[in-house]
Amino acid sequence: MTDNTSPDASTPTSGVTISDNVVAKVAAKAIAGIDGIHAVGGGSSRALAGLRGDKGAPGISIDLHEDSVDIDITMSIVFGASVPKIAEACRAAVTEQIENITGLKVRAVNVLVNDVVFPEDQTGSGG
Amino acid sequence: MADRPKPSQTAPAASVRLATAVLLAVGGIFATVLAVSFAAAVLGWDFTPMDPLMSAGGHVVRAVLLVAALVILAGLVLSIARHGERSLWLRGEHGGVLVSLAALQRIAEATALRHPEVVRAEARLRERDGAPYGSVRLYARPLVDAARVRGEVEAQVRTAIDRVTGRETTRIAVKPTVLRVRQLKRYLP
Repeated sequence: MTDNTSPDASTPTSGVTISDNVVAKVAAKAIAGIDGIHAVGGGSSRALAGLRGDKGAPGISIDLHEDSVDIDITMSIVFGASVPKIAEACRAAVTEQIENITGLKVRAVNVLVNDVVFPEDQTGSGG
Repeated sequence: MADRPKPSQTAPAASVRLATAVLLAVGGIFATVLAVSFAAAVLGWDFTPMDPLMSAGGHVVRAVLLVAALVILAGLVLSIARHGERSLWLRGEHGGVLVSLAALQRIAEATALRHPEVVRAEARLRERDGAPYGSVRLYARPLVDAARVRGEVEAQVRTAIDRVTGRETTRIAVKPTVLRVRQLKRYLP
């Protein structure tokens, strides 16, 4: 994730700067609890974030523009889940939260599915 | 969203990260050896790090080791280069979904293995025109009707993948192999 910031275009005299890390955290919070998502981020990215003590949002990539944002969310899904339904739920939740909290317009939410987790995997890993 | 490009790719698998790390390490070692050799030559030292390497073993051993190293490096480069091809992009109105084909292969194999007559399944999927296509090789129990198993598994696999992608575009060819009794032990999980 790059460390870009975006000045709020609606306040020309006293700009508001929003870190992409903040946007990523809002997105992570928004998609928490959506059915069918096993984990956000790849296993290695979560492990690296843990080693670094990173409290950010591994697996969420933010591309900030002047007054809009593109978001890529990497995740593993539970076997049997419908990816389009998960993607639509993510898109709705992320768009609502980010537009409400930051005022940025969400241009696109891309969902990147890098793994599928089977019930037998979950019993081994503890979810 | 018309002007939003497809994301570069899904997060690289552990094997791709490992291949990248190995290639970087090999490149670093090679650059270091080269730098030490040049520095020694410039300073007039009677030292080169290549001497111990070149004097170890005979010509045959060194040749075999060199060829093996080149094959491994070529494999690593290939695995990294092909990483981007292994995903399926499902374009949407406000963003899309990029699905790893490896994940779809796992779904295809797991679905095939749920058929009671199948003891092993190996899926190979590719992407063409935004749709998954490929084959699933099945190893079925002895004496089963191969055509029946093929038809049943094909429908189940196609349904499972279509459910994940949300589109009825999957083209799957199921290739069953009916095992003989004496082969069964080798194929059982």
